Amino acid sequence: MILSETDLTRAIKGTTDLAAASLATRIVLNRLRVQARTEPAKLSGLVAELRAFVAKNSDAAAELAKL
Amino acid sequence: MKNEFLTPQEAAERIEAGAVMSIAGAPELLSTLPKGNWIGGSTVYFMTKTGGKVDREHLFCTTFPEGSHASARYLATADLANLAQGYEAGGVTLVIIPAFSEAHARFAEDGAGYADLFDQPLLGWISGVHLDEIGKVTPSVFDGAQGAKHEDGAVLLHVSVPEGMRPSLDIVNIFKQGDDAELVFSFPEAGFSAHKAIVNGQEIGFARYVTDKGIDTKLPLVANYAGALINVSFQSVDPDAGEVAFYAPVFPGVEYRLAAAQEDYAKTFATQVGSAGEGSYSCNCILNYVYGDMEGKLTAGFTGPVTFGEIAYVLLNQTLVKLDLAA
Repeated sequence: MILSETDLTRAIKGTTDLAAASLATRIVLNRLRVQARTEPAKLSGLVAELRAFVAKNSDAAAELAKL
Repeated sequence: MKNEFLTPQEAAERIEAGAVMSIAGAPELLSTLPKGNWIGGSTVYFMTKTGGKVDREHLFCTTFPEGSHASARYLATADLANLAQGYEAGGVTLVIIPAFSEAHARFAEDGAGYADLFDQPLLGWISGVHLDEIGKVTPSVFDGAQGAKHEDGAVLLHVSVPEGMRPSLDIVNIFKQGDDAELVFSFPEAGFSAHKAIVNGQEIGFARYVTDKGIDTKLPLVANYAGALINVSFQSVDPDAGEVAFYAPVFPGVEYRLAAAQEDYAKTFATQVGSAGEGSYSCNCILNYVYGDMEGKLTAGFTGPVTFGEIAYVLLNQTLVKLDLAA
């Protein structure tokens, strides 16, 4: 599953819980969300970080797609 | 995985047979073990099949299934950021760090930012001592590959599991976020202590607030990490110094709510996990053990060391961490 830039940005800027996701995905997404709130100018770098995480963790893409 | 309470002699025989093991126990026992595919950490508190107990004569041993391969190694604190470099593809990594050490602080505050940390299940615990020995005895960890004891840094066991098995890491947190708006906090700075907090948009002196409100500091602060409830436990409150210390760091930008009150820890564990736990690797928190009066009580089928902090990618408090290997 491939997530678009828009999907990844929406995940980071969102607040919805990932109740059924792996612990890793939840912790990673939360860390990026916190950074996006406190340092919004870094959003593009955070999106790139999430893209890299998803690329190496195939389950994460499916989990984030449910948001 | 096989969880057993073994004598040092039994554990030594298992190591010499080539088993891949995680071992917890009194440091004087761990120091007697031969070199091999194992890591260890100091604790004298355990959850066993017969309930919680203090024991200085046995070692709690988790043995990975036959066909597992592992490399044990020690990482100095300055090298912690390279933790994931030893990950085995499709495997799992165990980590043990001594309580109160520089590595403990660095991992807690910086670990989530280490490169590739989340690329495979990473779990473990913070080693401790008997509560009566805090300040007198230093918690330690053991690198089985070198037969070396350390009081700082981290020991790692990078495990490659048998083909067809898949590691699954999760946590059991018996606490839920409370709903009192006056007990919702954020903090301006990261750290294991806080002088100031924000409540309802107002900056407050946190130690005085905790004291004046009569907050039960046996309850953790609970943050919601996109659906995962992550605790930070109170260590001490000093109104004169205006400082509140924690067993894990708080972070700016994260909302923390005081946990809802908990009546019976053991019963709540049992309700949440049912009959699960047999064959799982797990560790549980010393604060749950003490506050929940767990001596002699069972946490369903979950047995393992009672620890000064738990690790499931990041440092946790008052949480049970569990690893399963499923076909």
